[in-house]
Amino acid sequence: MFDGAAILLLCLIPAVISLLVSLVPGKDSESQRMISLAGMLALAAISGWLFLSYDGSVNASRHDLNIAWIPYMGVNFHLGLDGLNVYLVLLTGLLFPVVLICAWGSPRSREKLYLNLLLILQASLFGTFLSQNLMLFFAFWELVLIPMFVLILVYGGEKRREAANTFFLYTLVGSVLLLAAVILLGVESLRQTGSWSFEFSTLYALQLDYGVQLFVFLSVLLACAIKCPLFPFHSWLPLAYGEAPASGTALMAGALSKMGAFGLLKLAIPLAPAVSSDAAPFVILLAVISILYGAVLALRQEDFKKLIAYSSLSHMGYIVLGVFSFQQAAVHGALFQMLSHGAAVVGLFLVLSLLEQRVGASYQGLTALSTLAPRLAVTLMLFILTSVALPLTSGFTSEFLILFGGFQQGLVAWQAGLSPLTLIAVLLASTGMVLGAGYMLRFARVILYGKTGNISTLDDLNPREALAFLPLLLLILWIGIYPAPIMGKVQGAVDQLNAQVAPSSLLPQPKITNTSVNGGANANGH
Amino acid sequence: MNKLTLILMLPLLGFLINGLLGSRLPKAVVSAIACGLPALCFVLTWNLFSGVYRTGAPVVEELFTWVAFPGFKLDAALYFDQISAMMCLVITGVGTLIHVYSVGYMSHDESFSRYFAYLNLFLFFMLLLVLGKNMVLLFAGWEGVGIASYLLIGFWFQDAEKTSAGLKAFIVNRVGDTGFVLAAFTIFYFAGTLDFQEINAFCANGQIPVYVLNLIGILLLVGACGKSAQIPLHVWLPDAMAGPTPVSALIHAATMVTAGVYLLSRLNGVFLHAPGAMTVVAYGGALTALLGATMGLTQYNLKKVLAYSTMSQIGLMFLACGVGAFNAALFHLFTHAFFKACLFLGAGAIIHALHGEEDMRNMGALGKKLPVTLVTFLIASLALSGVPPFAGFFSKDEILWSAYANGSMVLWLTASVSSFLTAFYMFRAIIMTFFGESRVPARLAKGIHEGPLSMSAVLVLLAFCSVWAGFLGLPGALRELAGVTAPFYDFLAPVIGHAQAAGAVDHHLETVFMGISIAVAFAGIGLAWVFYSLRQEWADKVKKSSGVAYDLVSQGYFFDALYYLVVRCLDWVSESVLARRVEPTLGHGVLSAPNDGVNYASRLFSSMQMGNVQGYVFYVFLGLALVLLWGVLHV
Amino acid sequence: MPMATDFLYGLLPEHLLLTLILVLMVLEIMRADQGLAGPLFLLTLSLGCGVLVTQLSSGYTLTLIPGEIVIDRFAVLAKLVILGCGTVLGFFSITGSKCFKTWMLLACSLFGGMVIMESSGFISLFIGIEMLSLPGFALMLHGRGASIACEGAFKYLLMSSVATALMLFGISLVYSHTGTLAVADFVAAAWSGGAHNWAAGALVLSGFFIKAAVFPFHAWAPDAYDSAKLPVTAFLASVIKAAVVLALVRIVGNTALGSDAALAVALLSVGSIFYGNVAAIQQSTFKRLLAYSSIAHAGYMMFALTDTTGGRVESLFYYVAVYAVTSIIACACFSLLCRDALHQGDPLSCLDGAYYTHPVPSTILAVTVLSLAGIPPFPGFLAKFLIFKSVIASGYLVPAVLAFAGSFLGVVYYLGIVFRLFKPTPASEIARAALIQQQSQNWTWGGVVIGSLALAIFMLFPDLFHRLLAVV
Repeated sequence: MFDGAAILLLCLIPAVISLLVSLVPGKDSESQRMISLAGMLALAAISGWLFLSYDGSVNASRHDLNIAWIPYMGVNFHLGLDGLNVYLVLLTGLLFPVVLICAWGSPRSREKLYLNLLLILQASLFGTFLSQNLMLFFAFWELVLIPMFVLILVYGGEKRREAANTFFLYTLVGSVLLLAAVILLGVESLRQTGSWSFEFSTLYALQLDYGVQLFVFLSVLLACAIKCPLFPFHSWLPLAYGEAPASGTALMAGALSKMGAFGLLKLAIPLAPAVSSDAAPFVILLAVISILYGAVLALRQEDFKKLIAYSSLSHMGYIVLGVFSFQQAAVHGALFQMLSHGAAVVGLFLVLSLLEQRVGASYQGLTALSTLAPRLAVTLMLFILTSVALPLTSGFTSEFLILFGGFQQGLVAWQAGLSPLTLIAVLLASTGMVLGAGYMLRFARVILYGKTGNISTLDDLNPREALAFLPLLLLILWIGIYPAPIMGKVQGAVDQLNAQVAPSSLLPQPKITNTSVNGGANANGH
Repeated sequence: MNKLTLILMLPLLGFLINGLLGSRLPKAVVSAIACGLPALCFVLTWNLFSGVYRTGAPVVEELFTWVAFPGFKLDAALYFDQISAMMCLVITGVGTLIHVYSVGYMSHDESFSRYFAYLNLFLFFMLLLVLGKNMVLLFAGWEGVGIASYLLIGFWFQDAEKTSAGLKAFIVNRVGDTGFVLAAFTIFYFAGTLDFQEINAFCANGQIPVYVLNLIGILLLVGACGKSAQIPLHVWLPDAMAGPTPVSALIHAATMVTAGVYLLSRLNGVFLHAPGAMTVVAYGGALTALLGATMGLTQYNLKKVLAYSTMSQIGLMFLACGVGAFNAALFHLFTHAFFKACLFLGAGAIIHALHGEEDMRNMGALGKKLPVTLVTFLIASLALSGVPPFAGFFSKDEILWSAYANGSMVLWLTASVSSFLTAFYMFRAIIMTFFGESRVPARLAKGIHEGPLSMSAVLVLLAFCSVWAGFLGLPGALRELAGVTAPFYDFLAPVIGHAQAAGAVDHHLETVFMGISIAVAFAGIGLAWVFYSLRQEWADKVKKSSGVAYDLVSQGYFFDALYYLVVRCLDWVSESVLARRVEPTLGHGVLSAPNDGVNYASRLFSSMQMGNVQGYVFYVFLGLALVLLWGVLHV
Repeated sequence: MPMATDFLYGLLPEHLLLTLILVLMVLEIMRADQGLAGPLFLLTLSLGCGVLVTQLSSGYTLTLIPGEIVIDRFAVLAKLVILGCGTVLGFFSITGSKCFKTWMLLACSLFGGMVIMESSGFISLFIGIEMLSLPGFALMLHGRGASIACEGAFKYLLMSSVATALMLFGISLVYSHTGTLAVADFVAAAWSGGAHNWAAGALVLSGFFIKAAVFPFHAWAPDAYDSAKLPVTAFLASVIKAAVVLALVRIVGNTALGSDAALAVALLSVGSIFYGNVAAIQQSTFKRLLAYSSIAHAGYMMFALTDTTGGRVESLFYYVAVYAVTSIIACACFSLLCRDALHQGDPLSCLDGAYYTHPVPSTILAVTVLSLAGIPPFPGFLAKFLIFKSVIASGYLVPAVLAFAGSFLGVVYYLGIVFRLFKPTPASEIARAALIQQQSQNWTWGGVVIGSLALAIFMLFPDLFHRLLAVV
């Protein structure tokens, strides 16, 4: 029971805390943000505990909470921890306190509205990632938009109205078809099992004919491609990332964008396996286009926020590439990339936000950070190196695994006489390594090095902020140096995913003819 | 007691200490840590080396499993065999010396601790590179040294030029790294493993079609070219001289740039079965050797001369690998590490004395003021030019000989020409720097003196090494003459074997070639003496007469211009095509256009609400009529 | 044969309303304090609700007048919905209107609504519908000398008389060959095919479409809504709409329409959704916005007619209840936020930056608006979901997708309101707005709170009506 309670707490604590925050008298008092910080830390602790204690079991997860909502429609308030969402739960738990602490310096961190929005956002994110019921998933998926919308609208930059509007409406477009697909799935379960049900476990078991699968796949793909985003559905991204307040941008890039990739993993592939495996090459092509497109665009971005926005577009492309390679390594890599990119991009945006807090809007013209604020510069450099995918950082682990798996799968497909599309795509994607280094280090050169410009003094990273960045850096290094134990947690989920695709997949899994000690040992060892 | 791990961890420890609290520690402590730990590494390495030397059995240490899932398992394991032993000795040995040298060289720099932190970080990654048991671990070190060199080249980050040089170095390396990664992927697809020993074993049993092996070989070569500054990926090396001179000595002469050679010999199993790739390696190396040497001719910047010579020397090593004489390549790597480090540090001493002046046109007649530097520099140059009995002679001669014996006349010729040029430009440099009348500008002239003891001592040590090191690997002919063995080759034999070709036993011919190469070396030296000491006007005459050719050479064959063009194209696409055209079009297509459409429709609809009831009733009956019509049609 | 007591108990809510009306008349003649009216009204309605709840819980059913008045679960539940909406509305209108006539008219209209709900024959149904609508005109005119009010009311009157005429025509068409006025027979006949029956069905339906303001029978709504006072507008949007739709449900029940008819209805609904939502985007005043959104919502509700899986009644019940309560709350919050603006027409601009002066009502308004837009997990979304799941289950996937697209357009203007709420405004503005809010509006607050509670219950138990109707 306690485990179920742990899950419940994840959604309950934010609600209670936000209630408390709203009840605390006074427009802006210290106590509000102390309360909310405490709540967020508690959530971080719980999610961390869930992550560490998660034993990698797939279906019969100990952490499961199921409350009837619309029983006769088979819509339940069903939250559960499984291999797919365990990373994201950790990420969501980790990011929010970091974001709040980094916003500490700005006055808005005392406002009730701001704190409430953060808390609601966190709760709905937890809900999205944990939900085991399609209807609930959809509800949370939409709910996430509202706090982010208000966050941009109230605390955004010059063009915040336009940005908020674009963000909300554009991302909602995807949901129009998605809702239809969701209901259609319910109808299918009504036809096949004789009763309405939106439980994932039930829906996965359905035998959907190709047409239905196609409809489901396309609608899910659209919704997720917009959320991720993927080229050419990214038009909202530069505007929203550029105009949103720094914390909002960090959360959008760090957590919200992961919803798209998660949706693909949770909905598209298990529900429409046949179509997914047929469409995989094209989705991969789309992913690669967005990798290169984002990278090339980032090369010449003057605006730091936009530069990182486009880099994020490029990195999300890697995730999708990994997901649709249907290969152990690639899927592992994609899951890692979610964590890695989450941590790295949030770090980058938060460093920018600290600069903004210190010197205002003129931080765009900042140079020679290494001279002005060495500690800040080092922190920024570490995050940059992570996104450059330097070995021993999480970026390398994930991108290496993604490209590795994609390449293996591509070769298999090619050898099997299928389309060489995947292989070509992966080869193109690997040039992203060079471009990525290009724009990221150019960025580093502009902001970190050179002679001090108009801004001559800058407060360095203070202990509070350093403490905030620490968990992110630890996560990055852990995944970079010793990922094996973490992979164990999701192994079950990855196997399940492959099993779901494999039967209908035309692609054989790559042969591992392993005469070696290593390979041989593990081939039967695992 | 796992010594290997310790060897790896000590420099990292140094990096952490100096990096985190170096700024608070006194310089003495910083330098003690920075030099002490590598020295300790050297001791440990020596200890292990002696073990390997005795037993010949490699040392393996499995640390932990890096990544594992069904069908794939990658261990973070360290592997210390003969090649690694040799490399480690060079890295820790020369590395330690250069650390010591740096204490003096950098003593006036305000970010002293940062420098040593970076240097230790480099050592860590370099050791990881040579100790890694599988390709991924090697790649970790491979990229790591890349970032370390990026940081060190741009060490004086106030200077935009230096930082851009660092950037360039990293990007060009990344191009090579992509090739390496793809090679690893391909290897795994066929061999099902990334472990070096298993790969070599697997390639030996010939299960992989040759064209694949050639492909893999080429991809690996791309990687090696990036790291070892081979044509066409050499452009970063000259710019990399922007970094502090000891860094150039350690990273861009002795250790990192030779990583490519290490990679080729580490995976010799692949190459021995990939004839096509081997040919490409050989001719690529020869080409680099020649072009590098020619580019060295026209430089006035002392460090750049050395940089180009490094490039051409590594070209020779590649050539050796290409003809299957991996041991010769490694031997040259070994000796080259000493005399090239010595040369760079000598240059460093000069630059130190001249307060940062690097242009040889502002030097001259420094021999009297810097005797120690002069002597050591001279010794090292003789070694480089391949004058017996200095180290360079033996190693280079072995390469030339195998180039002819296992390769072709063309290779031998190119190699000889390049060594002739090497001798020429080295002594051109010496004469311009140390002899003749002083062209030192007045502001730098006063107080030119030798560096502190730490610096000169290191110079002497290295000069000494570049004398004796050669005797570890006497050529076959001399071995027979003197009835001695070549410990170096014997030591490496278990790993890469004596790559002796059929003609190699013909010691008579070998001696002849030896004579030729000696003659070539002296010819080069003599010519340089004539041009720059006796008849200085000739040099200018030649320069005048060979107009275009001179520009071509002095501009490095316009490789830089080419790459600049590529980068410009990318920027143009990014800025003018994507940012200015595609993005707005997309944005307008999906954002504004529908928006306008909806607003128009909205105005239209609300204008239907014209306000008089007749109209409303009309709508009603129109609607009703339509419904009824529908009924009539369907029922 | 029912006893007198049955007449007493079964129709107790109606009796209560009649007494209320009489008492109000007497009080008016006695020139009693006008302030009494509202509380009295609320008291009676809550009593009525109480009675209905007891009837519901005891599962009380009865056939009073065979073929005309039947009190079944549907009737009781529907009456409860009507009275509930009336109560919430009552709270809201107290501050606005301090005179007996208003309350009498309200009561009459509610009475009519209740008569509809328990009628099983066309005579009582017809009487009910007329009783429901006629007080509406009076209400719109009452207390407003402005010619625009007369115009609006007149248009409404005219159109609904057209509707009545069409309905009568349709009914008589069926009567002409079945010879009964029982609703059940009518339904049985009307969907039994044949141009004759089709015409009858079409006429009756279009009558209802007019009253429910479905495109293209909608045209009266914007003018009427705009011309009335805000509480009256709320009344039109909530009680009358609910009653009309429930009346339609009373007639058709769960019986499936013919596929042609269903398709025609689907087309009309899509048209209505698109028209309402798109036209609303350009509106600048709150009431007109409400009018167009009500047109769109009529479209959603009519979509339920295409259902063949037998989920129509419960889903429509849920939708109607949620929609009525939501729109009342929206109006109430609007009046809370900008009382002063109500008199110079109700421009949306008066909502600008309201959040910074009155966070609570603004938040509630934002939530209700998002709920109307159908953003999950608010009840508005659940209502749409319940309707469209049966639509898609009945095989109308494409129209459903179109409808979703239409509702997406709807989000645009609903978001516009949220925009205004959070629009930053100069401090002076905020101070002024704060001053205006001095006069107390406790009653309205009561309405808002009760309504929000109701909404919360709807949100937590979306299967409420399913359960209540299922029990026999």
